Amino acid sequence: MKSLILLKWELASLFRLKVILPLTAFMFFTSQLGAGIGGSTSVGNNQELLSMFLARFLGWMGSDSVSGLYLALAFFSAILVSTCLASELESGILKFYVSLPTSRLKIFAIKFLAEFIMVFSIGLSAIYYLMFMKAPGDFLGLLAVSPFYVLQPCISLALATLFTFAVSMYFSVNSRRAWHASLYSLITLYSFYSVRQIAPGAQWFLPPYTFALGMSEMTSVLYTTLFSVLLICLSCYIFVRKLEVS
Amino acid sequence: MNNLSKIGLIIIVASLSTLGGNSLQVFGGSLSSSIPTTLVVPGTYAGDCEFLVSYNYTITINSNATVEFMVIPFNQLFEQYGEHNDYAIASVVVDNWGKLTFKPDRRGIYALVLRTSDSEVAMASMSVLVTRVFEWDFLYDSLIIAAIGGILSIAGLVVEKVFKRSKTS
Repeated sequence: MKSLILLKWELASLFRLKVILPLTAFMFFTSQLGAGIGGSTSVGNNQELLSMFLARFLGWMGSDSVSGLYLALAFFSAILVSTCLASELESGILKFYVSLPTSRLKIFAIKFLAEFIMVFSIGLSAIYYLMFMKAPGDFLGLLAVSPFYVLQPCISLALATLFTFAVSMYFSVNSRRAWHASLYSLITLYSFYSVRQIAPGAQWFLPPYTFALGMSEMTSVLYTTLFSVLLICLSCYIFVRKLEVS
Repeated sequence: MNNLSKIGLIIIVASLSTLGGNSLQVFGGSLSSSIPTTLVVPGTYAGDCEFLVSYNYTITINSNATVEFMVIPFNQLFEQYGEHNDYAIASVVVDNWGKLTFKPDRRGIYALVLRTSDSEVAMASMSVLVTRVFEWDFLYDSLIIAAIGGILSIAGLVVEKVFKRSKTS
């Protein structure tokens, strides 16, 4: 119950127009940059089977747009996480949280969850808006025929957000200043994006392209996810230890 | 500002940002693709279903017999399956070689199909050249969505004002 109140409190401080409007603008803009303009599947005489193939293709297009959306994810993860963790550690606001009858682990989890919910929900609406605009007349029909494929971009976006949050959280709990954390996170996250300029062949094994499910190797998706989870656990451990010391 | 106005404002920003991102794709240059040689069996369609946008498409068809090429919206593909489809947005009869240029009015799924009127099986291949142009239908749709956002914002402000007035009186 206390955790829920804290989560509500954290969400209320995040869901403000001055945060949401730039996030929405950047997310919806960049979602258009990653998606291909179309795809095809052979015509057959089975309408349902054809619809399933098209739904799968639409799902791929949605997943593919995560590679464009990554620009916004990286930017806002770096800024939001460093503001909510490093900045609050720096200013001492977190001491107030610690004085509440709740564990440090829960404080970390609530902060992570609140930011994740906000970034993920806006990112998801950007992807589904893009998918809807690709085929406005057929979108609902494809969703009804094959919901699994149409819902596939949710997984791609969740993994991409997890990765950007993991990197940002690690730097936030380890940096002395909030702007240091933002800068290190931005440099690290954008370096993954710029790999395609240096080594185009390697891009498929590194974020953000690993999150385009259906086009990338499942092993690279798995190791990136495992890396994200481990980094979050490590950040959580450092955060708890840091608050204990302070 | 109440929640309704905020939602309206978010919708406006979302639709205009998407329009901005979409407009940038016009500068992406032309694209080409090909549909490999396929068998056109009498009474059926051969070809591909594609997600098309309102760009200019030039289709070049090569075949060893007379075939008819049609572009049919997906939701009307099975209405007159295997026959000359009245819902086709563009069609051409090709004898060995032919070309068709068309521009869909709206984004969506379309079938690029071939059919033969002869009783014999034909073989055909297609190449597609896409020239990017500004998507006017995307602009109209985005403006409609932005207008809905605007209406929600104004409605929210009006509701807030009425509520405040009734509270003070």
